[in-house]
Amino acid sequence: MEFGFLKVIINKKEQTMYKTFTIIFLMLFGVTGFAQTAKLNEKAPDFKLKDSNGKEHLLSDFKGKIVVLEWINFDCPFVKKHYNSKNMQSLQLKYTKKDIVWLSICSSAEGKQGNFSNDEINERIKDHNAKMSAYLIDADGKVGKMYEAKTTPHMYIINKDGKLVYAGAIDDKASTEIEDVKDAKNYVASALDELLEGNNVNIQSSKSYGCSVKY
Amino acid sequence: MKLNITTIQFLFYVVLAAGFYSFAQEKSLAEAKLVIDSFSPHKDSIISIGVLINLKDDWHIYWRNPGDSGLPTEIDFTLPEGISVSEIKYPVPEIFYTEEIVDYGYSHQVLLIADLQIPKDYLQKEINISAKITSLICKEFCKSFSTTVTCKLNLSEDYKAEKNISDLFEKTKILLPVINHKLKLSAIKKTDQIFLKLDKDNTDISIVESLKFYPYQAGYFRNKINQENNISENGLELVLELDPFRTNDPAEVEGIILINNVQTEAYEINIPIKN
Repeated sequence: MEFGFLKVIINKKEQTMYKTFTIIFLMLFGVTGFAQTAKLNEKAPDFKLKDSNGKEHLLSDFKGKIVVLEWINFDCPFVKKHYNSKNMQSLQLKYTKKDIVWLSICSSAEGKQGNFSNDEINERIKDHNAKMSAYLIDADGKVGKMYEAKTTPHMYIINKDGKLVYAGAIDDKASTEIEDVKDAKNYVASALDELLEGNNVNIQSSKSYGCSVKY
Repeated sequence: MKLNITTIQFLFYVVLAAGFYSFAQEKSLAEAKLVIDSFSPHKDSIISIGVLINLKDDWHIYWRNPGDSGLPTEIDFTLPEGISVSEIKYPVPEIFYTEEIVDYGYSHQVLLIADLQIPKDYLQKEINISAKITSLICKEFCKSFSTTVTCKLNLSEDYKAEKNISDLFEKTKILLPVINHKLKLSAIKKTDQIFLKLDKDNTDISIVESLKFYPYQAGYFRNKINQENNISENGLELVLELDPFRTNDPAEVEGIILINNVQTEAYEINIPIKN
């Protein structure tokens, strides 16, 4: 009886241990299957997000293509600067025509600024005549945190090998003034031109500027 | 329902009033004015001038380094020829943070001080000064903040500032980081961290339990709420993490350190980094 009782205790201990290991394993590798943090010149962390039409996109689906990630919040004054001046749309149009994938990602949490219904997003895309390949919704902020996106806009470029080759600001004029767009040095355009010409990206990072991402 | 002229007129005024109210609200998120501390033109060649910004509850503007997001608060003075102005002296900022983002700035009220330098042989008796302020004002969301404020200054007679303004200058000067100090600090880089060490033989301060660093330049260091402090026999060591997306490595640790997390114990530092 005593041994049997002891065995039951051991079994219970083993069960608890297995459960603990399973939980730790799942936390590390299962639930956060995509969880890594983005680093320059390393493989860009993969993610899966739905767009404003309900279609799912995996970053890895675009293997072999240059991908731009643009963190967006249509109501942020810095985002307004680049959309009201048509700067962002011009870049989207120019580079998507050259087979570059442009993913705008919104990490605004529910109830926070920039979090809209799909209908409203699509209406705003239409009103702005935006030309992104897809507008992705990251309301739980997992992808934003994975890329350490801090501001809107915050720009990232992934090369054809799937490596992150640029992270930072869209340009060098940290302001909300539309007039500043024309004299600004556009880091994203420079990096994309360099990649399209088969060169390495010269300026790989800059301090992003904008509103905070509304996690 | 029939609408007569009076009803239409009434509705028109209601809409107009609502629009005006909304405009006024928008305007009053932050209000700025130029203020001058007391001076005697016969004795003083330097006059303290300040931009006083009052903010609506829950809103904030930014420090010289806004942190992870936002815009620095900048002031551009327009002065008569012959008069110059120092750089803005920013008081120690507050920290505004969420889970992922750490920003530096000011809420409620802030006075940003500068020194006006008047040449001894300056002839003009009355001068006009204007200052353009650009910043970003945020709470859960942000709005651009840009305004120009002006004032007239009579240089022919003594000027006595109102007591609340004089008090504000005095209070703000206490919150400015100390520039001339004898703190012995060193900085060593190891991989992606900088170890900022405060030597125990520091004469300026009595008991140091913790250090906190606010960088002057954005983009070099990770902005963190909780900064790691290690106490050893030789002193205290603050561990600073470098920003993983930095463009290059900083040559110095430049900014302010807060001792024991006390805002009135802030020191400006510029320590070369050794590898």
